[in-house]
Amino acid sequence: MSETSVTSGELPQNYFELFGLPQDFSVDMQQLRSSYKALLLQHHPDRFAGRDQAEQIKALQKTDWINQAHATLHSLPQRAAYLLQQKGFAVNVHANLSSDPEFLLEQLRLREMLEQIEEKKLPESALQTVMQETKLLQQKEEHYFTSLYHHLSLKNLSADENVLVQKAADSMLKLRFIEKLFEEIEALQHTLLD
Amino acid sequence: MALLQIAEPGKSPAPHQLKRAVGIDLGTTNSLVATVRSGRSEVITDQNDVAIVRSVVHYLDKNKVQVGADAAKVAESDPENTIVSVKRLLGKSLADLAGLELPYHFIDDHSKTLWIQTRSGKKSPIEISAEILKVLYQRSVQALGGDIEGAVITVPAYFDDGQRQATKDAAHLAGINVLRLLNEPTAAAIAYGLDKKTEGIHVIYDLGGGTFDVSVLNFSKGVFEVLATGGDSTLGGDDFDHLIAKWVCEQMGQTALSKAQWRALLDLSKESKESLTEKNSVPLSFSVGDIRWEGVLTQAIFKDLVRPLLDKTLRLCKKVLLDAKVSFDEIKDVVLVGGSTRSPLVREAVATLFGREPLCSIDPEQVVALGAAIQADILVGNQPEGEILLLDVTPLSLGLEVMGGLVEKIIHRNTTIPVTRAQEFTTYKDGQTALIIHVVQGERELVDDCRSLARFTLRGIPPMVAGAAKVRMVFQVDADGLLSVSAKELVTGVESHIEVKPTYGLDESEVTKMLQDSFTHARDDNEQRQLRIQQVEAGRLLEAVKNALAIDGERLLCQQESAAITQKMTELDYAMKNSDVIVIKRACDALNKASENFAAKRMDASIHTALVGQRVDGV
Repeated sequence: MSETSVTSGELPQNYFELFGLPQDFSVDMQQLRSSYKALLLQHHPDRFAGRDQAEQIKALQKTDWINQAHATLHSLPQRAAYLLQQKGFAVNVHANLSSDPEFLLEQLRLREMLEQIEEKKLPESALQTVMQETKLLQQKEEHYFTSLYHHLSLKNLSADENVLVQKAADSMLKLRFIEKLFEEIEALQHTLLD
Repeated sequence: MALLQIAEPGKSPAPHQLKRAVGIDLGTTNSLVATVRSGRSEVITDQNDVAIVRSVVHYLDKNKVQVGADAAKVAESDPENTIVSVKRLLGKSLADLAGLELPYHFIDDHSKTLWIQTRSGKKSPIEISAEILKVLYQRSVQALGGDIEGAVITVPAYFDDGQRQATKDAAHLAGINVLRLLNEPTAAAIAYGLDKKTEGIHVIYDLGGGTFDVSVLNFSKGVFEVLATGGDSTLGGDDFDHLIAKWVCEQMGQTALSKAQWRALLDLSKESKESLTEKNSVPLSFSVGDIRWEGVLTQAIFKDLVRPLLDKTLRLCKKVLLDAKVSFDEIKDVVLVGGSTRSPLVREAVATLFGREPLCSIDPEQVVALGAAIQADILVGNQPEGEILLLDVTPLSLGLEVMGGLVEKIIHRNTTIPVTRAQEFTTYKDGQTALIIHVVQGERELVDDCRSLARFTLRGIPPMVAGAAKVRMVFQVDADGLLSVSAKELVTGVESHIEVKPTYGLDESEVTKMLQDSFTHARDDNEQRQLRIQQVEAGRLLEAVKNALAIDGERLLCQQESAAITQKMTELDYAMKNSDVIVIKRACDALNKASENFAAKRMDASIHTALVGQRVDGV
C-alpha cells in the first residue's frame, strides 16, 4: 500500500468525517459520491484559477487529499485496512494470508475457471458465471468483515482482541484477493472484445 | 467568499468586467478559436466570415510566414517549406518518424528535438504550431477588442506527457496564457452537456481524419466527470479513403501506381466519400496512363468496404464502457464529433450499437472549440454562479521501472486528476548509494513494452544493507495531465525532483498498440512477472549468502559445511538461467535450507544485536 505524502490541509484528517459519513465498514456509496463532488466543487484548483499561486497550490493539495480519501473508501480492502488502522491496529497489507484452505480452494477454482474461459463455447456467459460467483464471495466477506468490525468496536471487548484483529486482517486480505480477481475478469472481458 | 460577489440589487456586473477568454482547437487538419459572448459560445471568424484556419504553415523569404488557406495552396508546389499536419510531429523525435514519408528536410543533429530545415532557417514543430496559434490569437484580440486573459487549448485524449508539454510550449511561444489543456472529447461533451443542461451519462464518439477517440462522461450536480477514455490513434476517416482507392485499383486490375497517381486517386476517393454523405451512389472515373476506368461507388459497396473499421470503433466503444463500468441502458446520450461522423454509415452504426439516434446538432467540426471556450470562460471566473467543475482522468498508466525490468504502476489509467500517489522503494544491493529512477507510461508489465518518459538518479544514499534504505517516490499529475516526480531517501532526507518533460512523445500507433497488447498479453505478462520476481529473489539470496560467507564463512563454518552451501549456490546460479519459476523456487529453498545452520550460527555470534530471523540474508 502506498504511504501517503498528501496532507489534509484544513480539511478533516479522518476520511469518514471528511465525507460526513459514519465511521463504519458499510458505506452509503451514493452519499460518498455526492459528498465527494460537493467537496471538489468547493476546493478544486479550477475554482481558484484566477487567484495567486499560493491559493492554487493549497487547492491542489486539498484536492489531492479528497481524491485519496475517496479512493480509499471506494475500495473495500482499502477501506477495511483504513478502519483497522484508525482503531490503532497495525495491519500489513502486504502480509500473506494465514492459512484458510477453504478460501484458497475457492480462489483456485475461480482462477481455473478464468483460465479456461477462452476455450469455452460461450465465453461471455461463462465469464458472467464467474463474475456472479465472485460477487457472492465478496458479499460474504463483506458481511463477515462488518460483523468482525462491530465486535472490535464494542467497548468491553473480550480477552481475545488479538484473535479478532487477526481475523479482520485476514478478511481484509481476502477482500483484496477478490478485488484482484475482479481486475482479472475485467482484463478478460477486454480480451474477449478483441 | 460568495458575499464579495453579490452585486447591488438591480445592478448586474457590467459587461466590461468580464474577462476575455478563448477556446482553441489546434487540429491536425483544421484549427478554430471560439469564445463565449452574451452567454453563448460561438466561433470567431475572419473578415470573410470563415471560421476554419487550415493547419498549414508556409515559410517564405526573410522570415515571412503564411498560415492557413494561402499556405495550403502552395503545399504541392513548395512542399519543403510548407508544413502540413504539424500536429503529428509535435512532441516527436526523428526516430519516431521512421517509416513515414514526409517531404521535409529533417536535420539530424542527434538531439531528441525534431528540426525541419526551411527557407527561413530551421524550425521545430513547436515553433510551427505557434505560428498557427498566433493567427488564432490575433483574430481573437481583434474580435474581442483587447488582450486575452487566457486560453483553453484542446488536445487528443491520447496525447502523452511529451505531446501535451509541446502543445503548452507552442502556446507560450505564441504569447498565449494557457488556462488549461483540455481533452478534445471532454470539450465536445461540455458543448453539448452545458448547452442542454442534461444530467446523466454522455458518450462521445469522435472520429476524425486520422484518429478515433471515445469517452464516457457523467454530468451531475454541477460536476462533469470523465469516467473513462479510450480509442485508436491510427484509425480515422483517411483510412476510408484508402479503402476506396484500393477498391478502385482492384476494379481496374491496376496495382502499380506512381506516387502522384496514388495521391490523385486518394483525392478522388475522398471526394466520392464526401458525396456519399448526401447521395446513394457516385459515378467514378480514373485513368492510369492509357487505361481509363469508369464505375459507380454505391452506399452498399462503401458499407462493405468500411465495415471492419466501423466494427473496430464499436468494439472500442464497448471496451470504454467496461472501463467506465457503465451499461448501455444507463447512457443518456451519444454525441458525434469529428468530420468523419458526417457519414450516414457511421451514424447508422453508432445508432445501432447504442440503440438511439446520436446527437449531432452542433457542427462536429466546431464542437470541440465551442466546448473549450465554455471551459475557458469558467476558468477566468466569468460564470461565478455557474458552479461547473470538470474532472478529467489520466489516459495511460504511469509507473517506475523496478528490479528485473518490471513496471510498478503508481498511477493507474483512468484515475481522476489532479492526483498524487506515493510509494516506498528500497535498495537491492548492500552498500548501494544511488538509485536510477526510470519513469514510464503504458499498460504492460515489462519496461521494454512501455514508453520511457524520463530517467534521473537519486545520489547520496549512505551505504546500508540492501533493503534498509527507504526511498519515497511521489508522482503528481496536475489538472493539465502533466506529471512531475520526486524522490526522497527518508533516513537521510536526500532529495531529487524532476518535471517530466520528455523531449519526444509516444508514437501514436504505439499507444494504441501498447494498450491493446496489455490486454492480450495479460496472462503472458503475469507469468513473465512471476518469473522475474523469482529471479530477482534468487539474485538477492545469492548476493546475501555470498556476502555472509565472505564475512563469517571462515570463522563459523568448517570446510565441509561451506562446500555444501557453495554447491547449492552454484545450483541456484544455474537454475536462475532457467525460465521455470518452480525450478528456481526449489533451488532457492534448497539454498535457504543448506544455509539455515549458518544463519543460526551467525545469529548466535551476533546475538547482542538482537536480530531475529531464520534466513541468512535477514541476519
